[in-house]
Amino acid sequence: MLSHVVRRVLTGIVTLFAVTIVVFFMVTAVGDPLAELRSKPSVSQVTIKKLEQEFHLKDANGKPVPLVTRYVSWVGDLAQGDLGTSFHEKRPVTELLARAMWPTAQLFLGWLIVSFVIAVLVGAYSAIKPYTLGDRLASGASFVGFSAPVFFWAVLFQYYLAIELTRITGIKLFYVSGMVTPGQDTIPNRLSHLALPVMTLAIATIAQWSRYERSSMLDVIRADYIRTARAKGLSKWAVIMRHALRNALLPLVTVIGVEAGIFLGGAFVTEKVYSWPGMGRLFIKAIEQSDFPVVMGWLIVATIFVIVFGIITDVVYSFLDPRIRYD
Amino acid sequence: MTESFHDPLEHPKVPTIVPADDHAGEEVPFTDSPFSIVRKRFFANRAALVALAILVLIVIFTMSYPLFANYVVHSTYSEPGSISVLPYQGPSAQHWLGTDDISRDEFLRILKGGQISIFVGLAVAAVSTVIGVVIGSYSGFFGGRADRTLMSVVDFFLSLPVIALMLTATKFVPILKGGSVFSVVVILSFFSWMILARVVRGETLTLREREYVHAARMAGASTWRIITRHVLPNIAGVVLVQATLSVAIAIITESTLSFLGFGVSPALTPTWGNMLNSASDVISRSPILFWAPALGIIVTVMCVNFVGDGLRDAFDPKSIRGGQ
Amino acid sequence: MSDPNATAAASTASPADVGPILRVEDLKVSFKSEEGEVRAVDGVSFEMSKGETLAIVGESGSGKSVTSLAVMSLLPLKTKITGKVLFEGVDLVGADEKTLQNLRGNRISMIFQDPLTALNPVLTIERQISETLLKHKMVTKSKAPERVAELLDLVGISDVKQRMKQYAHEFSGGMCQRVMIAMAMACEPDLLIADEPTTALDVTVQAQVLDLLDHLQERTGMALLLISHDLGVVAGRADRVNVMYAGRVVETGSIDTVFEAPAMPYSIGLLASNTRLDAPLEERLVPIPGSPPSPSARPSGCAFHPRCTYAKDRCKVDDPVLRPAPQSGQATDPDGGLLAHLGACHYMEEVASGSVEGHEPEEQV
Repeated sequence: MLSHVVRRVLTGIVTLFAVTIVVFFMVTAVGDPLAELRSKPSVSQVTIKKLEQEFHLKDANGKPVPLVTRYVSWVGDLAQGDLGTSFHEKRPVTELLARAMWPTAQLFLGWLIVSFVIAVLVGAYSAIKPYTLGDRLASGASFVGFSAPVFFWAVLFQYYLAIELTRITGIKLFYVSGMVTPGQDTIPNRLSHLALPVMTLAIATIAQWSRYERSSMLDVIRADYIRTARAKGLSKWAVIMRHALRNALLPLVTVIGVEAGIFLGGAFVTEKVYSWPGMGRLFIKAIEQSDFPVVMGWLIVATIFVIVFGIITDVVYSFLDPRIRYD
Repeated sequence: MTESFHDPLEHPKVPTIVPADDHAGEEVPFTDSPFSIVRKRFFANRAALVALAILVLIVIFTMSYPLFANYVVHSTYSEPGSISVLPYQGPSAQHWLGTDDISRDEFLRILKGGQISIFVGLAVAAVSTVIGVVIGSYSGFFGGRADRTLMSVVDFFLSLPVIALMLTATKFVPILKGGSVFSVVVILSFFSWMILARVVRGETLTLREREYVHAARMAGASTWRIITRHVLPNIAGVVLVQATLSVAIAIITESTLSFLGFGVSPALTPTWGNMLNSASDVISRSPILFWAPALGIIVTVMCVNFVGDGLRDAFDPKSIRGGQ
Repeated sequence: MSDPNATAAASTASPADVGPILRVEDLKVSFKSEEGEVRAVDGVSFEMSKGETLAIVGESGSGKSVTSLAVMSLLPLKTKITGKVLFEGVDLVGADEKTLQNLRGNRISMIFQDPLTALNPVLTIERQISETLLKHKMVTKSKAPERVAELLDLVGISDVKQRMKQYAHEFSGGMCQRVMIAMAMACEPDLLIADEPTTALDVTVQAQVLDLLDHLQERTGMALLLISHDLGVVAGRADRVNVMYAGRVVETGSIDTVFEAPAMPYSIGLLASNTRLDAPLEERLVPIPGSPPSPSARPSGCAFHPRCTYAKDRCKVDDPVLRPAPQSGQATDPDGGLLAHLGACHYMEEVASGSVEGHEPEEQV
């Protein structure tokens, strides 16, 4: 087990290295990262010079630095936890990322829990009562769910479930932007801010995961050990909860393990629509402003997040399935 | 188990068909009989058929753009021969879907935008399918070190925060800047071939071990010949299914990029995605500007998914749909 | 739980004293398929008394496993079951779930063909056995591990304390079947159904598992319904045997009678096709020509006629019923009926006396 985790961490480090190369080339080598800044009259020559030096584009004498040297110095900075300074915010990138991380972590946890619980419930129901009205409805809904883009749900929920609902009925169930109403920092207030963004993110994954859960549950229900469990005299409920569900979760956990990237894609849209002060909005802003130190740092941190999440789901999997004992 | 009877729950038995590949002998020309089975299966699937019909209608509809084009195209304000129009008009006889924020006819933009969105979907699917098939069949057929390398490249791509890198590319890679349709197709294709490569590799790996491939190799057939004559025809079904589904994914991804403001530039040409970018801010004022392109995307993507599912069932009746 | 005194008495007690523990009457099982309604079991009747071992033999598709699953009501929900399955007088066909759940694993338990897949891969052996105990309130939660250890010890598993914390994949096939048996014996059932218990196991292990079943039966006095396609498994262990073909019992009788003087041509064929190591080489294996009919395409008349070497025109149209076999005189049973030797064939007498010639079967299905 431990050695497996170590191996995963090592491959993760290799992946991370490869990502640094990709990011470095895309952002600073193929083109000039400062191109857009140079054209802006508001950015002074001094700032440009400072950036050129900070990102090792030019040396102290203003001479261009060779690519390899630039890369090595950049990775060296990275290794020391120095991601540079945002020229727009005039703050260290690490600080910006740290500030944006917690809001996105809330979305992530909310998304993961809501998607997982609902998908498992819907999928299990569909598998236990296949080809019934309920199953067909779930199947149709999931089809719509993963055929509609995330931003559709974002706008739909925001406008109809928050703005229109409040306008027509006067009830304010959900908030349309931000994490908390200033001066009313309570858990219910935070939850009603969180609800719509989480739902937005979860729709597509519920749709997809519930289909996985349904098909793996259908397989499991046909397994011999389910018959054994029934032959013991267990009730249907006990058979499903104790014997079927856990086995049916296994394929789903594998799928979830590679979906952290999908979450990040959805987070851009969701955080933009709901003005959520998280990683997604930080990145979009940085891209809009060509704030490349933030872009590069963000990409590295996001890759680490995707890798770590993959390792965590691996460990969870090995706890769920005793047949997997990595060694 | 001696009896095929133990399932505690009833599930309909699927009819079995003769696997297509069993008929593809060495020198026998590839008859269309396996495909006629597939066609029959597909046409028996009503949902897929209806979806296909709707798709064809959507394509014809968006292609009919030139018919309407001389009618208030991108006219801002009043033009000779056109009625002076205001922004955010509701639907009317002149403007079937009303007008947008700068008084353009929404109906025309839906047609034009649909054309671009569907084109991007098809183009990305085509390019990424070619990349996926080449990499996947090479990897699966030759195995060994090449396979390991290519598959770790696939794993690497799959572990990237793809949307973020696409956004980065639109901003920092010189030739991909500016939001042209071409650059969007290139960016999307570059990050969309991995699943296909993996699927094709798996199929090729199993095909490689089939008797008739061994026989062909014994008979001295060249690798190229084996791949084109024996491997590719037999993975055509899987590739077609996966390619269809990737059209849907590409349409959604393009619209997401455009919605965020980094896809096809609205200044150049409308797409359903970039139309939504501006429309979402004015949904309270003019809901139709949101709903028209949104339904365009959803209906198209749903139909593509239905067709893909229908194809999958037609090629492999044993498959159970489990998302993508 | 059974009376320990019954243990010794069970094998000798006359069935009349005890009355049947299980009585199956005209059991019919059918399910829907693409080809319409398929009848897997078509009017099966038999009785079992306490402590008795009844074997059901037949080729795959003969309906023997379906019969055993129907007894436990473990068939798919939409399967149509008619007839009666009387367990101690209570009809289990159409009984409510609660009644069935209280019987399953408690009074009637079952072991299956493939023990590796019959055990849940993600739960420990201990958890799976104690689940049965707790469900039927045999022990309290704190006492459960102790009882699980006892049961595993009983079925011959060593290192019990350590083994019970393990998972199915850490056991061999034979060991898994022992675990299954321990699970089935947890509540000391009155009836154990063993559906092809040794088919998936190595030959060397088969005898051990069967001996274990014998031993446990002696110890607890339970009735054993032993289902197998292998006459070798059944020989010497069962008291009586039902031969099934195409969903029906085609011959029934005491094991000795049926083995020594099979009456129905199918049983004759089945015995002949069974490997007899003591037989001369050329006689060792005489397979029955053809293969069993699919339940959806049952031949007219006697279902066996297309494969029967003695078939005549009558067999194609006239469906034979069970009737006393010609040499049933040997198995005189004071109570009548129970030990009777019955066969379903129009020409049993002629076949027995050798007055009909065997010929090539008409068609090979």
